[in-house]
Amino acid sequence: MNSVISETTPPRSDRKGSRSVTVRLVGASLLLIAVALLLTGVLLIVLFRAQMQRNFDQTLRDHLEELVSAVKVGPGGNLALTWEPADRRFKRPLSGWYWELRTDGKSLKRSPSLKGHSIAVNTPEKADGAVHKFLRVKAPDGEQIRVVVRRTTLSGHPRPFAILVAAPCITIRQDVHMFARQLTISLMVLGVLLGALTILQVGYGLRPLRQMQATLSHVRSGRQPRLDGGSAAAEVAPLVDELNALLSEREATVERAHAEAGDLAHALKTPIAVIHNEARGVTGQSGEVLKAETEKMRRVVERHLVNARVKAGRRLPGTRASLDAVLDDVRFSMSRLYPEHTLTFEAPQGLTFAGANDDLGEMVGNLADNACKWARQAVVIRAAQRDGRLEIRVEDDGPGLPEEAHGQVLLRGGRLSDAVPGHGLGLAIAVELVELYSGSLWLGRSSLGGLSAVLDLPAAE
Amino acid sequence: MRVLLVEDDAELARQITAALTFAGYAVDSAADGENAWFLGDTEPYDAVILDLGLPGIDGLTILRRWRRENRGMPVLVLTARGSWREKVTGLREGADDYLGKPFEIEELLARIEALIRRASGHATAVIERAGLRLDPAAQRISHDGAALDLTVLEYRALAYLMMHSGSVVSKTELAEHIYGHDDGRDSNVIEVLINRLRKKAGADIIRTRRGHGYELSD
Repeated sequence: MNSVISETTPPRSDRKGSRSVTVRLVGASLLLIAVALLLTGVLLIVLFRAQMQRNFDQTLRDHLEELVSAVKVGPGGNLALTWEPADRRFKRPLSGWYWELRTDGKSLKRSPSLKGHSIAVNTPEKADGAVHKFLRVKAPDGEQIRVVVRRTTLSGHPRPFAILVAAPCITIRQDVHMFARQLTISLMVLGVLLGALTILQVGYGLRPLRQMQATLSHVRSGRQPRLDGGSAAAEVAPLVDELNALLSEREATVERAHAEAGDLAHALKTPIAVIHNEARGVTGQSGEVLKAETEKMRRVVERHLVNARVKAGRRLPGTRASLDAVLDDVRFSMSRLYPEHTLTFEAPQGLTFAGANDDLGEMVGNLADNACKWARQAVVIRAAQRDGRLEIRVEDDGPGLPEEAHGQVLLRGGRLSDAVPGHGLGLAIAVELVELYSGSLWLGRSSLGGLSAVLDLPAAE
Repeated sequence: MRVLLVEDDAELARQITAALTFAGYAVDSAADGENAWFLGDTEPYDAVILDLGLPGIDGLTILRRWRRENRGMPVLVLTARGSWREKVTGLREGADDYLGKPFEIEELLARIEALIRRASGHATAVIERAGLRLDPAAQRISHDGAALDLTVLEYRALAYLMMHSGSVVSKTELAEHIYGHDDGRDSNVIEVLINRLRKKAGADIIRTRRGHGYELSD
């Protein structure tokens, strides 16, 4: 027999084909983060290079303006430079940093770094003082340079002159490369951080679902009757309501099954009682046969009633029963049915049974009823809970049972009655229920002198 | 002793009535809730056998109403549904005993007898008063060891007086407890009955309290 409430995890659905919400959320977020960071990186590099080029051009212009302002008419009416740029880069040979003063298409003066070469840019046609910019000009050493040119006329001198200033493109490229490298590292660190935060966030966001799963397992193990809809997240609340409705519906179905079983019992038991009584007037073998057959019918009806009731209710989630309430019922009922007997209860408060209240009542009540029926004076009911088991011991000072009936009662209800004459139906129902709850029932001799019946049942957590 | 039987199954009611009558009880029978409630509310019964599944008002409701109106007669509930929950509910509503269907008639008779005995304050099965010995199970009353030869009515009357020894029982009360609802009642018959009992059990066994009724001698 299966246990009444499975303590194991529920059967897992086949999850091979199912997709994890966490994987979906985290995957989508990581992809978005990666794309966003990549675009950010590209944009930043483009902007950085533009800025670098602007700065570079400004430096070239500054040098250009300096040189233009250094051009003077020297002795003999020729153009000459009053000073040369002090920047050491213009002195280092083929450094990429060059300047040149031209007039009439001829190089008049150039930076030492040019080593006698000329900058490979033509002088502009017009001497209008405008600055012309040339990108990626080939330098004497084959490197690419950036060149600015200005052709203008000095007042008091008829011939226009041109100043050319050049700087190596590689400077910008190197800066951009370094920036790009640092930016990449920064963005990667940022990406990792964002990814980690995303995982945390998804975990946090999905917490209501995990909480619901936890409470659902509580409902299943019987620690709470329903899911708590009040504290559920707005998105989860409809699911909680649906689940609660489902639970209610199941309970209603079980109740209906109970009612129908009761109707069936009523419908069958009265005719059985009539036939049984009528058989008493029939003499001889016919009477015996009738009596025996009605007795069989009675047992079959009884057993199937108990089976129907327990099987219908046994998978019901959230069933747990308080022993206190059941013992209170037992105390009241026995004091009414057997006012001359002394019932003693030795049970701590708060013991619980992992099953239906009515079933616990049926087991303990029937054992107590049976004990009272046979007791001379005293009946003692003891209960204890340990290691997830609930032990209930019912003892009386009656005649007890013969030795051969002692031990664990494993027989089906019907056969027990044969082994235990006169302890019939009540014990039979108890045995039937005990079996369905994976419990055990031991019969033995009580220290009071009579029967000792020990119920071992699963306790609720 | 007068018993009300509330049972909607005609055949079962007939069987129980026969067994109860044979055992010396005056039996009234009701097959539906309304009638049962009315009889229990207006007639003084020594015990009631109440089936729970009834047409009209159900058994538990009837029981609850009787108890609310302080009808304290012992009630044995008879039911097909014998679950523990139902048993507890029945007892908490005021039932005194409980018997699940199907049952042995002897068991029912034994329980009814025990209920009546308990209700009249006697703990033992056999009652001894004024030199008389009442054994309800055997329906026998003996005087100084010799069984009295009594008719059903004489037995009922003497048993009732023995159960209520120490108090004065009026003619009306006695009539109500030895006759069924449909039997003719005549208080003159009671006087005749008492005289016959005095002849059989001894002249000074039953004292007459004029204007009050009868009383068993100590």
